[in-house]
Amino acid sequence: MANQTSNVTMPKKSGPTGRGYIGTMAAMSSFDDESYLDFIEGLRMFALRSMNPSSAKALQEEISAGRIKSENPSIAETQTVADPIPVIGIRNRLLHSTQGLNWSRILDSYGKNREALEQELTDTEKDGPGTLRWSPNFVYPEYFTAIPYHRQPGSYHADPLAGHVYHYGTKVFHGGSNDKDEAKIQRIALLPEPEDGVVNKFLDIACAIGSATVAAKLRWPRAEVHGVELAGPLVRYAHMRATRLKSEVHFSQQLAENLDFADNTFDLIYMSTLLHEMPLTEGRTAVREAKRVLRPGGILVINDMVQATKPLNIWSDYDRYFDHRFNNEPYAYNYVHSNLDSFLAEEFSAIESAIEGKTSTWMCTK
Amino acid sequence: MTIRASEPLGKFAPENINDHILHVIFELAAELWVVKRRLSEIEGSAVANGIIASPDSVIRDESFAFDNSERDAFVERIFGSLKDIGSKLDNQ
Repeated sequence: MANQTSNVTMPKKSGPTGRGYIGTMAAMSSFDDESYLDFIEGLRMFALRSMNPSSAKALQEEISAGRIKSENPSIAETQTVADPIPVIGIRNRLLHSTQGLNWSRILDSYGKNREALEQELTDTEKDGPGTLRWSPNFVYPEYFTAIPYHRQPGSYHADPLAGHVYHYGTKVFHGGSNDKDEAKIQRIALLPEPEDGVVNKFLDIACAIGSATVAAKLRWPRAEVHGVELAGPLVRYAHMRATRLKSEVHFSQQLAENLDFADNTFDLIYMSTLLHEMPLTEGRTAVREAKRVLRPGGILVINDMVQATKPLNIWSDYDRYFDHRFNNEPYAYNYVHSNLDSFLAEEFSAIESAIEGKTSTWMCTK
Repeated sequence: MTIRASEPLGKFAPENINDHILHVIFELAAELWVVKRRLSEIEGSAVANGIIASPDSVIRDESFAFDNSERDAFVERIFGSLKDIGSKLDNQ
């Protein structure tokens, strides 16, 4: 599974921008736009690979010099020390600028072919092999519309091209590591199966553009695979993309806190990078709702940000709060300090968890 | 004859101009990369079609497209010194 990729060959020069595809996404409208974003991708990688370690080291030197005395300082205390450190200031500027330049260029470029891109979304709504359910009149919760997530213009719900923009944006964000769904296929390959080995029905909650959902269909081709997503433009894009890949996935626009599936429906449920994007109360409700539609013995797999430790990793805490302050992640900081492990232990009969880099995985058996 | 005197650093621009200058540098560097990448494509195509033999004696073996490692080296070359600034500037 690790080396498996989507089995559809994209035509080299075609698609709504007339410049073919990069992996599974429409290419930018011009070579210059593509080059510009290639550079932004490189600049972001520089920030992550070079500036982050230097910044963490500089902060540690200040901590070692006694400028932060507590093992668990408040974020205000950490900021007082970290913000004036030059290398950290430059890192912060790099991350903020690359994010802004990324979104604006993608939007400008796809905007040149907006009509064709929107038309393709409409034309494929009824196409298969999968299905799509969504409504232009869907009422979004206030917490969701309150801010444009990650500074994406129009956020995920207000621009019909939000799925296109999100997809290319995440390409840059992840350094091109998921252009052909490789990262998602790898992630899905690691999911455990229930003890009885039965995976007839799979659900991807907050599936965004459906990369993991399509990957699940590749791993369990005989299973009925569903993806639910709150944002209309994202779920429309997910369906269009899956249709192009000839993947039989059933997408629907739904609130994670209020799913329309019957109790005990799914054998395996995947919930990735959702909880840190929600207020704590709604996040807890979403977990309980996933548990409701999971059958006894089924597994809910949660992938999300690592929870804060004690003693605190002070650099990680500062880094997380940076996203809260400057990258429109209003709920993430509360989430990482929410003691999710205790909550899950109360809700499920068995929990296994693992940490890889900045991501935790919880495997929760009902 | 030009007489070089010491620059009155910090006199003209306010301290908080640094963020703006950095933002402009990023933008300029991105545009420079656009030009470099396009030129590489054109040069490679021109060589492949026999229009020119070898622009500036640069000969690429298999593909004339930049890959990520070339790009990342380019970024590191321009901005690499920033990561060594650490926790103090020279004038602090």
